[in-house]
Amino acid sequence: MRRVLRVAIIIRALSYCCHLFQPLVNIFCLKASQAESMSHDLTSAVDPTSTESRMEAEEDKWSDLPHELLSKIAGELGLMDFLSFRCVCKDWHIASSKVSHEDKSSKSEPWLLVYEGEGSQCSLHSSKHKRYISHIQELEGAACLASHEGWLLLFREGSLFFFCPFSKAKIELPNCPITEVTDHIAAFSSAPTAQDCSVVVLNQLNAFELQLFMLCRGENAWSKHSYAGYPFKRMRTAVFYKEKEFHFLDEGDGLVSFDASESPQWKSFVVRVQESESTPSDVVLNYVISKNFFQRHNNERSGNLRFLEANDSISTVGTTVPRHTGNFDLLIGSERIEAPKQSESRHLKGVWIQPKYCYVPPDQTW
Amino acid sequence: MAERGESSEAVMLKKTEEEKLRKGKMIVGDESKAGYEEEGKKVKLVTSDGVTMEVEISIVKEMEIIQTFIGATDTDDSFIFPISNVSSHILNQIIELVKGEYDQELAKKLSHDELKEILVAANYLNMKTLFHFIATAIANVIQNKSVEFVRDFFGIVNDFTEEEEAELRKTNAWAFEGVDED
Repeated sequence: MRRVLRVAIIIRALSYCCHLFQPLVNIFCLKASQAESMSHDLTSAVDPTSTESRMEAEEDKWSDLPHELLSKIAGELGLMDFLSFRCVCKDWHIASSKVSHEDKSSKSEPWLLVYEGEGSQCSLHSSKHKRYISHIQELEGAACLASHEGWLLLFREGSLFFFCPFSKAKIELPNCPITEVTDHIAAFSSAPTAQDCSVVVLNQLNAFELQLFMLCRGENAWSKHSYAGYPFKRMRTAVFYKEKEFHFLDEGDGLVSFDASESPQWKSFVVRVQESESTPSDVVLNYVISKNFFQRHNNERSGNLRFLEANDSISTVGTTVPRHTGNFDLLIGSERIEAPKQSESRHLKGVWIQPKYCYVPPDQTW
Repeated sequence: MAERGESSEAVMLKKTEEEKLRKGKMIVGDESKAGYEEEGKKVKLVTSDGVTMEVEISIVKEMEIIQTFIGATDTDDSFIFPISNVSSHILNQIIELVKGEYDQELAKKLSHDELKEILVAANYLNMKTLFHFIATAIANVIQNKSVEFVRDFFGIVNDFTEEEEAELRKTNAWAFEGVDED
């Protein structure tokens, strides 16, 4: 009496567990006596069963693995291998289609994308000194204004858009407030897929005046803000700071902040290295600044691993590397390297980018 | 037998009461002694090809699916767990990998079929460490290889149409240059 009751309990518990653990479906828990009789059945029917299971095993192919398992494998891959994975077959493609993918092996070191080379060719330098070549239509004749979390903010043919060069995902921004890019710099607060993403584009009208355009996710009209103040040096780098605050760094030690949290507010600062005797009016930044990141990395590389050939000129756009040094982000500034012989040189453009495949749902717009 | 009118809820209630009792006993019992008793203990598993294998409890402990049962029933040595998705060959491989403390060198000796079946088995048995280990091993095979090599190694038929393939190569074009030739 008691024994049979226990079996009933087990089976009940089993069907209960099945909701939690899908693989459980095929497991039965039996007392030895019952299992023995079952294994007798198995032995008597050994030939047909094993042939059948062998045939099943042959049909059980790599491409037929559940997508959930395939996507776990894809998640272990570096970015370039992830892109290959997507090209193997339809099932592997689908299994890796609806996720963003970050290159774990890069340990948050950014990669360098160089464009406007010969014949619209782009080259990509990974943090592990590998070089990849491609043609990316979106980068032809484009100017990159900002780079953040694997996304680029590009200006091309009178429009501004977000673009991920790895997934080729593109998000257009409405009503572009600028007609051409001269000395404009820009920054955005988060991936354009995030609810609270905001974008700012800064234009330096002259030594005394700054003009800024701002657009938040879901909005159609850019807001315009002006700031007049001390003679500014040339503004070089824009960066998102926190909440709705952006920073603009000039080529010297000047910093202008724009905070749109409540009523938009501008402030000017002088940047200096933090010393022990900081005064209460000092603001301690959450990032460290590297103004010669490109130059340093180019010099460290030798031979054909170098980013530039002898007579190349380049202007690069930086990015932010999260928590690069302890709790501090690393802000890579924009740089300009002029070739010794200007007249003969190639003019390249470069941008530091997080190696990330950014997925955007098909119906998503700004 | 469960009495006819007895609803499943009632059975569950009794089970819970039983479990409470068991837990009560465990608290009273000497924990160190319980641990000692478990050492060397084996659990019988019946594989998909009908082989009964005695597997050390330390390995079975990683199989969360079996643990659910051991936890849900007052098991004794006479309990047998059929694992209908795992062959004796794969179970032996799994035992070796666990005993070898998940050394990636061991994974290099596995065929692509074994890699796949271990992955499926690890998922089925809910062995988290093994699953991560084998996913990493498969990722290591793919690393720095061309798409053609990957298809060839895993015996995968390219089921894209020519147009689809051309489009894919265009969008994922980075993948096709600068990879190691193997």
